Amino acid sequence: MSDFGALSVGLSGLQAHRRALDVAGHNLANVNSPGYSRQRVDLSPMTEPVGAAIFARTNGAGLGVRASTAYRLHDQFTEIRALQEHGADSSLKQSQAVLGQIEAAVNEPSDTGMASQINRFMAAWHDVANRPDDLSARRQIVEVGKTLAADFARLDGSFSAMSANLTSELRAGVADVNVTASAVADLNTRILAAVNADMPAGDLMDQRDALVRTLADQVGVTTRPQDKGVVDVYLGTNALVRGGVADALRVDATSTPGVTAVVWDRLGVTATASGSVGALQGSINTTIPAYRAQLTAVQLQLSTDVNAVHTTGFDLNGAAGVPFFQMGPGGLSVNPVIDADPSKVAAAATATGLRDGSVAGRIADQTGAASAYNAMVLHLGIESRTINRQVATQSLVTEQVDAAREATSGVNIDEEMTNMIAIQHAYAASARFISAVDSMLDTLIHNTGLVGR
Amino acid sequence: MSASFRVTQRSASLGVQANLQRGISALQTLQDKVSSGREISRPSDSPGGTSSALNLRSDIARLGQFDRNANDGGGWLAESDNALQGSAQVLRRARDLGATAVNASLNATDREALAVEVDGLRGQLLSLANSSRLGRPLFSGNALPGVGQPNVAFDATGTYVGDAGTVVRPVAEGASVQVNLTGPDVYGPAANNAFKVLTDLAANIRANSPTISPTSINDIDTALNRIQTGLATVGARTNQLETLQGRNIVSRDNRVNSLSEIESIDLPKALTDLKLQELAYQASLSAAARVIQPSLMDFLR
Repeated sequence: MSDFGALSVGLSGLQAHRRALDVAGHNLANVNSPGYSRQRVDLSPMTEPVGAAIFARTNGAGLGVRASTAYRLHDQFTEIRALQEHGADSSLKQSQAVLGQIEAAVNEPSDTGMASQINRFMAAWHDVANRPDDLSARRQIVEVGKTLAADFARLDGSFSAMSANLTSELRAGVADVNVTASAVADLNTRILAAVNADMPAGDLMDQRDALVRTLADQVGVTTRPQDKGVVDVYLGTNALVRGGVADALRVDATSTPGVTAVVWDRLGVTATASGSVGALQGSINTTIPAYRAQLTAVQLQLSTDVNAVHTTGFDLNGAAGVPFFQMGPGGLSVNPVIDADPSKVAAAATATGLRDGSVAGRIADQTGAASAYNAMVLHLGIESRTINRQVATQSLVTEQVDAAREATSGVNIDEEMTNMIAIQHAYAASARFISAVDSMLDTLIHNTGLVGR
Repeated sequence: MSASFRVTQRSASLGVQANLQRGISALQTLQDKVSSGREISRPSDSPGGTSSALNLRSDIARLGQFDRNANDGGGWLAESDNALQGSAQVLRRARDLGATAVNASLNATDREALAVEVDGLRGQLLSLANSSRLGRPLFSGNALPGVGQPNVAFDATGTYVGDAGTVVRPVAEGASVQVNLTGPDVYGPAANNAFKVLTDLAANIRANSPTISPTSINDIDTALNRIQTGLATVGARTNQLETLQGRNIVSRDNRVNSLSEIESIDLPKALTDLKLQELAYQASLSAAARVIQPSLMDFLR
């Protein structure tokens, strides 16, 4: 090595530690950035090429230090696990929100819920039984019946409005997934370019991974790492993002009546979405229709029970009873014939003793509809409670996975400070080395050959 | 979080945030319970409890209705009792008049005066027998008069126009009480009812035939006996109804208590829980302040 070579050894020390300090500063600046992975530069010695030659001119002292490109500390496996847990977490939270809405709509136990309305309706039949010849009691049972039918319709309407809201939420969610997927594809392209040019790509990868986590929340994706930092994103067995190309999803609510499906835009086949989109789909196609069906069953039960007894009776004119309720596609309604003329309420057991109210009394004893409704509320309570527990457990698991990820990739201020101190000292030492070489050269240049002067 | 993990400022603050979130959410749940006074405000708070609460509410509504039915039935019985007491008085007076008429020393004018009074008594008895409650004759069974027909149990000739229908009030779980008596039950069969007896008595008095009077008086006694039997029946039914109503009220109160046990909070327990949770939350807040604060920076110059 030449004498001046020593200066470049000192310079390499200054440069390498300067870069290490930059990275420490970058880490500290991003200490609170979500999804940021701490970065490192590796320092490695530069040595002269050592060839097996007689005239090898190395003195073995080395040429200084080299700083690698900054890279991020990141655990692919923790990342994959985090995707799964985040997908499950957002799916459960979405289902929980929907069941919470259903519970709020059902509003039980209370003095205003459907159970109280059914009780009130049944009690009103006793009033008819007590005063079968009183037209006002008959008018009252008709009005209470109409109110009950309207309340059933209102509850069913709130279910159907909920379903419509969730469908628009689903459309927005799917549109969001498409935007995020193309952003991931775009970042993949830029990462590939950066890696090919040997440029630092850690921050781009962090951005991309944050977007992939968003995708996991939305539709529950899995990833397959490819060469050069590129990551492919899969939804089920189909690729949502392959390298720099993103596929798209769309909502299909028309192909199968009554089913709102998320399908691949190009292929038209159903996508296996989980995450919040999957949960929305489940709520729209399964949960809400199930409760609507149960509510319809309660109405049908009420209609069947009341009509079965009512048609055995005789009205105030001595004519055989007509059905009190009608069940149409819009749900329960009071027979318009009875609504127009309450004397057609059949309270009497025989056509001769028309002041008899025993049929009305028997109607009041019907408990089928109340039990069916009770069973529906019980089912709702159990389902909702189960999902609340699952959400609590899952959010703990998700927190742990996040903590594991943070343990690998998070920035610790103390560590960075310690690194900074070490870097600072090394920088100062390199500077001191340069001034030592400078001083040696000064001696050589200015103070050599002056003997005897 | 396992101890072997590398800890960073962000992971520490995330952990603290998660704990604080859990703490404040538990606090919120307890505050909701205390402020609303309800243990169950939605089905998921306790599915089994909700189901019991719905059953109890439906029971309470039904038992409440039984109570109203019993009050209505009590009204029927009380008014029947009034009508029958009145009828008994009328018949007793008629019997006195009959006994007076047997005395042969009466002249035609006296007899006519007695006969007119007996006619008046018959009218009174008829109006008592047609007593109605809320527009419905008490003793006409379930018969509904046709259009233009009088709304009575006995028409002006004393003929029963009602039927043999029973009026029953369910007054407790699985228990009903019949609250009506039909006309023939208390005023006698068509052939020889109380009105015919009084008509005959008046005719006998006018006809000046004391020899027939004892028969008439026997007939009055028979009619009076029927009324007395009717009164006894009404009394027994009132008794039965009141017993059942009392039992019904007790079981309704029991259910109201059970409902409140299920739905309402146990206040001392809820307040203690709230206080404990507040303490836990404050502790985690002060722990958070300590965990997040220090770093190496505080100790460098």
